[in-house]
Amino acid sequence: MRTLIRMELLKLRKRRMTWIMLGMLVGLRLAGTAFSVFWSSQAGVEPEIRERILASATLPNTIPDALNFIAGLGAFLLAILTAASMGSEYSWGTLRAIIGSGVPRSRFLAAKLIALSTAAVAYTVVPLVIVVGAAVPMAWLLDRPIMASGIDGPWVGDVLLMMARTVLPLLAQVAMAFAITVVTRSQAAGVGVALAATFVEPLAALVLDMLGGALAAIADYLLLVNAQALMQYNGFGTVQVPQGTLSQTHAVLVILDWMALYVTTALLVFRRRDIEVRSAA
Amino acid sequence: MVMTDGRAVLRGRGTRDERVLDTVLRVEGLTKRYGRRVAVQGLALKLRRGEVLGLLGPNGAGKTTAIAMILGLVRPDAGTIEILGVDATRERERALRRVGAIIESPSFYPYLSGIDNLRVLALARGGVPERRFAEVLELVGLTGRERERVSSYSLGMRQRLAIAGALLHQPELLILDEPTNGLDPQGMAEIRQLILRLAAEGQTILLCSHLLYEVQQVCDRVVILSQGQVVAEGDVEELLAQRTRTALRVDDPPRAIELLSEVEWIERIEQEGDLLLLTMPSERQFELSALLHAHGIAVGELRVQSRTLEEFFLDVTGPSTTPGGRGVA
Repeated sequence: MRTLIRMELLKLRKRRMTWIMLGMLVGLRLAGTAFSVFWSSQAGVEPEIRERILASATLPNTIPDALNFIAGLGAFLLAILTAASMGSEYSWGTLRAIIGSGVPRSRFLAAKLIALSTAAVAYTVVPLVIVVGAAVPMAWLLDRPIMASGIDGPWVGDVLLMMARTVLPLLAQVAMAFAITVVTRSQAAGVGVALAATFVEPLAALVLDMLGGALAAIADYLLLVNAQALMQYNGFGTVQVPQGTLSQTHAVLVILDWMALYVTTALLVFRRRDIEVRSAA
Repeated sequence: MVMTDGRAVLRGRGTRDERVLDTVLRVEGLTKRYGRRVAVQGLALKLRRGEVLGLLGPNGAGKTTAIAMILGLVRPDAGTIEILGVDATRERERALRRVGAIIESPSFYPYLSGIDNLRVLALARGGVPERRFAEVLELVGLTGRERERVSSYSLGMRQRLAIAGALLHQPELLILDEPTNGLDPQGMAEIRQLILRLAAEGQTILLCSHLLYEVQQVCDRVVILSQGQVVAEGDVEELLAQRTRTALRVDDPPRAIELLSEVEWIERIEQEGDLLLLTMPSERQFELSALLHAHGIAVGELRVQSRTLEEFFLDVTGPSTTPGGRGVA
């Protein structure tokens, strides 16, 4: 199993797409922050808004804000990376070479999922580290303190918890794109359905909420609704979440259920189905 | 003794038969249906160690489906597959551990270099020693090109890299499905030479092809599939000898036809002008001559017409299943 994970990590590491997307994630966040800071320095911007922007560009607030950004754009990019990683195995025919060499199908899928999950963690950690690093010169440029408070155990704990709250929905997005790609055997379908879901699901949740009654309760079990609820808890110390926000435990359990459903579906379909060989009738 | 023909080298070494010790691949009753269509029906194969077996058939005959079932890519509806004594339908991983295969066109990660593609295949196999990469690259003639991206490789280079990948873990059985597909004549000749070299080294090979000249050059035995079923199998030379035609010119063709149609070892009589073409064992030509002479039919010409595998193939699969073009040596 370890060699299979190494194989999948090698494929991801050597793929230019992996690095381009990571670069996009980092670059867009830094560019967005720089633009916001520049815009806030213009005349006519209300002091309250300016203060919020400057706080978001520096420590410690840059951490939850960056993680929210990663949870949004990162989910899109990881869906694309996942669908490309699995879909190209079908389109390039490499799947038949790997499976035909005797690799058990379930282990192949597990190794690929573990490698993609590693990418999801990297897509969270690497941009966060860079953003935190960039916050130091930013504070110096803005003539603000580098850190409003000291770094202690609870602070580090909060950061780790925030990262976990960000990674979990990303993993669910990976599982969804993965399952769709395996079922449809299409990279385009994997990307398309996973991205469409991010638009359709909030709309569905809104409609269900408007219909009320038992239907409104269904929205509480949608993946993105719970992912968004979980992100609401990101912050330092005791975070005040809007009234009616789903509990963290509920959100985590629902997200884990969706992940289990997607992974099980992918596994069942992949294990049962013949691997297409072009001239095989 | 100078021998340029690969098969002559194999047969001339004299040690080949000594290495034919045990069965590497045994397939029995292998069947695959897609809805109502039967892709493979009751296929039986036996491949002994050190042997090169050709699996032939026109497009759609079921060759690739059969290989896909052997490699566990396609689930058979019935039948057993045993590789080196291991039931491949139950213990796929263990059975395929000593098998190397290329199926259909070579498949690689185009963004990776040749050596990285080999690394991926090696990791899929659980890892191979680093020195093995250099050995297989040398064997297929890709040394010095391994750092280039596969997307820049020609089809011939990809085929050779695929063979290198299949040989990485020193398999006991090598399965090659259409290894010269899409290659130019020079590429075909290169791959054929490589297969001949591997065969000469004692590698057991199952070669699936529709290029009959190629198979005739390389294989010891052939199995011919048509519409998913075995229509002929055996030693290449024996098969061709069985179907040898004897051309006969006589003074009274109608009487000769009447007489010869009663002879049980004459399978078929065709008439082309004043020439009779008899499908019969070539070793019975003296008997044939004596028979005609005894009945007062004068023989003007009697010669054996040797047949190519292509002619034999068309004979057993029917004219509607014309195979692909012949390979060029």
